[in-house]
Amino acid sequence: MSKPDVFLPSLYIRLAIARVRGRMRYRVGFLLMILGVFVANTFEFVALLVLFGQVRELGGWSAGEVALLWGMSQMSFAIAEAFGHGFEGLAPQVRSGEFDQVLVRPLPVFFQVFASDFQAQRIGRFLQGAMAVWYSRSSPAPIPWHASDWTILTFAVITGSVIFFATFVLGGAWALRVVDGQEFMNTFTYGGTTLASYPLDLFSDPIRRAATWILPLAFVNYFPALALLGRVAPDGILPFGLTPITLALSAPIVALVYLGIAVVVWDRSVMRYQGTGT
Amino acid sequence: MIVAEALKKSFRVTTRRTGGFSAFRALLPGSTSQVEAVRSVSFSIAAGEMVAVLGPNGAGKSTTIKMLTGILVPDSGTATTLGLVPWQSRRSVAKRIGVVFGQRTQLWWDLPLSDSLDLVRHMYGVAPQRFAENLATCRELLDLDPFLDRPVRQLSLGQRMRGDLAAALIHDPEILFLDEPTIGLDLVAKARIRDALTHLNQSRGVTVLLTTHDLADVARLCQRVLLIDHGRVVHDGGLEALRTQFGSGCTLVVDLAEPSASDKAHRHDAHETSERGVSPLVVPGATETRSEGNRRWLAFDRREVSASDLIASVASRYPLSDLTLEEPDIETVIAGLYASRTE
Amino acid sequence: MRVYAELARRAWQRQRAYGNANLAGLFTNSFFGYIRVVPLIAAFASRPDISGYDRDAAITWNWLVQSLITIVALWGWWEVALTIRSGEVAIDLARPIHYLGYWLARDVGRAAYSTVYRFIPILIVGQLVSGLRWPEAPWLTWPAFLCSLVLAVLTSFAWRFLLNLGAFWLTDYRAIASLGLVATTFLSGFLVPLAFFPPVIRSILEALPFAAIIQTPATVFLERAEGMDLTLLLAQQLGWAIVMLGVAHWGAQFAMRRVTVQGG
Repeated sequence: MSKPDVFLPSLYIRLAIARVRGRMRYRVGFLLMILGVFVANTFEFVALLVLFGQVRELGGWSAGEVALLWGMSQMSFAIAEAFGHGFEGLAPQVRSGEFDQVLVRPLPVFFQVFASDFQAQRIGRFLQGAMAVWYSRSSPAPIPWHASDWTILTFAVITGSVIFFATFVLGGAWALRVVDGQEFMNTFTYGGTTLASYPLDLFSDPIRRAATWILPLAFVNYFPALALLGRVAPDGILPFGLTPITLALSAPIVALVYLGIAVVVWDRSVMRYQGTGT
Repeated sequence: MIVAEALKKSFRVTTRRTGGFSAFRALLPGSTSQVEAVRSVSFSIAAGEMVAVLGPNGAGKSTTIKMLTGILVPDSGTATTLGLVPWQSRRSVAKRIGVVFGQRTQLWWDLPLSDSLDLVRHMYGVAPQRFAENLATCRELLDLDPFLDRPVRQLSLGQRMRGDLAAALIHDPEILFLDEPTIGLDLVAKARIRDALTHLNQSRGVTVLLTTHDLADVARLCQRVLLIDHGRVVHDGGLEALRTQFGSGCTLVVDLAEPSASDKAHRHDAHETSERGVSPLVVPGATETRSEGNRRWLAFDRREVSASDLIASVASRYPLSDLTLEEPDIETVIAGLYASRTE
Repeated sequence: MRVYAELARRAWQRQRAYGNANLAGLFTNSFFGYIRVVPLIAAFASRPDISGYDRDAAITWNWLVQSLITIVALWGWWEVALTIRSGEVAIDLARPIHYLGYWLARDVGRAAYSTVYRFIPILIVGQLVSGLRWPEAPWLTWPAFLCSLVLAVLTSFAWRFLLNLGAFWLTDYRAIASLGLVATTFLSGFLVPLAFFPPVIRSILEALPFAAIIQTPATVFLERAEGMDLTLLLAQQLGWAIVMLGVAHWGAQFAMRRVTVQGG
């Protein structure tokens, strides 16, 4: 009975590589998928620039500033999609009963779903987001990058990806409870990243509150961007009257707490699934 | 090895609504109903047994297996697999059992079978040397070599099933749970799977619990049959015993020596004879179910009248030239049982 | 004709089976409608008029295109391609009905369902959320809009059908065709009104068939073309519908010859 214990991180890498290799067997299709997401996002971004061709600002935000929000949101979401697609694509597996396979393996259920579908092709969205950030720093005039800017940006993108990832986990938990439920979750994942692509202060109060306290989209890019741009936020939008810098620095904590909640909800949903079946 | 005691499991089923605004109405409460999949299932299986679980679709076979493998938690009742409660010690049990669902695959669709098996090895933490040994055994036993390097999506159903079985054997399971392992396979592929299972059971002592609709599987593999119907075990024993318990309805086929006098009177109307039948034989304890010329079929229940008594009473009333006794085959017995469900 | 009406009716019924997905889609469309209308309203804070659109016109455009997208099915429609890939196409071709007509009838049924259960509900949501500008000359605009809608469905169908035919030749048709559809959302005036583009690009885009799929019905609804302009606009749209259906028919013939040669 002395079985060597499985080391999950290396198993994750192994499974992720297997996924990518499987997809690479259809190389053209794989590259086209990357291109497809890139082009789709580029069109949306260009549409935004077309609008900015007509007006100088949106609610006091310039094209470059909105591009920064846009790029950060897209980069975070791309990372979250790459790692969280196992949860996103769970609904059909629950429907077909494939999810039961997960329950007869000697590994944590969360880990198995997490490791089941690493999607390298999401790099298309990431690149588009990176280009939007690059645009924001070079148009209309180049803005010098300081080391601190890079740090804030990197932290914010990773933090944002954790927040989106946790949303995917919640979506997966929802799929375990409600057959046909996944479509509704798309509103919060894809809708969330679109919402975060625009300045949060444009939106109405209930949405702003929901995006701060329920699905913490504001911590994905809005607060960090305020800090990066040195912008002053309108009254009442910053929780507890904290400064954007403080909020940007506390974003990782918020993201981890949110992820923690998502994992607890996930575990309870798995238990409920085992209790009720399909 | 496996003990189940009064397992009970019911599901809430959402009744599908149709119609234009069904989606809106589906959100309203009160659209679900309770279905008792497993009412009370008890049995125990010793090490080294090979047991088949039979029963019509929806009888509760799969649900029972899901509870024994830790996928589902029962509403009430207890069960232990390898001495552990499967839904409480899911991962410890999972390490020591192998599970194959015939309608699904646990292999990686886009990867060669060999890669899938290697990934499974890492998921179960099987040491390299033992993996090498087990893989060698599987390659021989299941004849994997011809397609070991082919992507799973290109495999035939039979090859894929052999691959899935290999994936379930990589970690030396003590029990194999197989949910319809031969479904959709051709005769050759079925035979191969059966041979492999027999070998595993006999030479390695692996306990096997399988569900199937194929009685040939049962006849070849299992000494013991659990028949589940309406969420209960209705039979636990050999396949032959199943016939004696449920197959009491027999048929006596008699050939009359000559048409009886009453028939002769109607003989001129041959069409009517064949359509409406000649006057039936009247024998206590049996009813005529069919007639064809001089041949008559008499159905009787063996629990009410013995075959010899019946033959004697037929012979005393009618002149016979020949007779045969037809016992139901096992397929008919089970088909009859399944059919009675629809009531 | 009877058989095509029956096909359309079946397609409508099939949509009903996806009730929950439709409800979810309605929810998603509404949410996106809201997200997109907010920056648009913000844009009008600094300028009362952008290329002839005032604030209310832009808001109405926004909700209108969110509803139209479901009718013209630009998010992906691969039914034809799937039958080509699975080989079922051989059965469809063996039927004693017009192949293009067969699919057109089904798409009309689907579009009719979307009109009732997606288009109208989303417009109602738009009205409740941000208020819409309804036609000032309803007796002219509504019939004109309805005509334009039908022509938009025909044009969109022909274009999607052509993209689906790609499955005859390419294994990766879906990725390529997806790119085609994504480009269509941009070129058709779904992401931003075509009027907002720089003049030269705008006139090119307005001349392309893609404008007939989204921008033209929106323009008609917003009463941005009147009298002779409206007639010309609808005539142009009719022209595109005919041309595109013609190309789709020719494409089907061409592909079919290939199937019969290869034996499916």
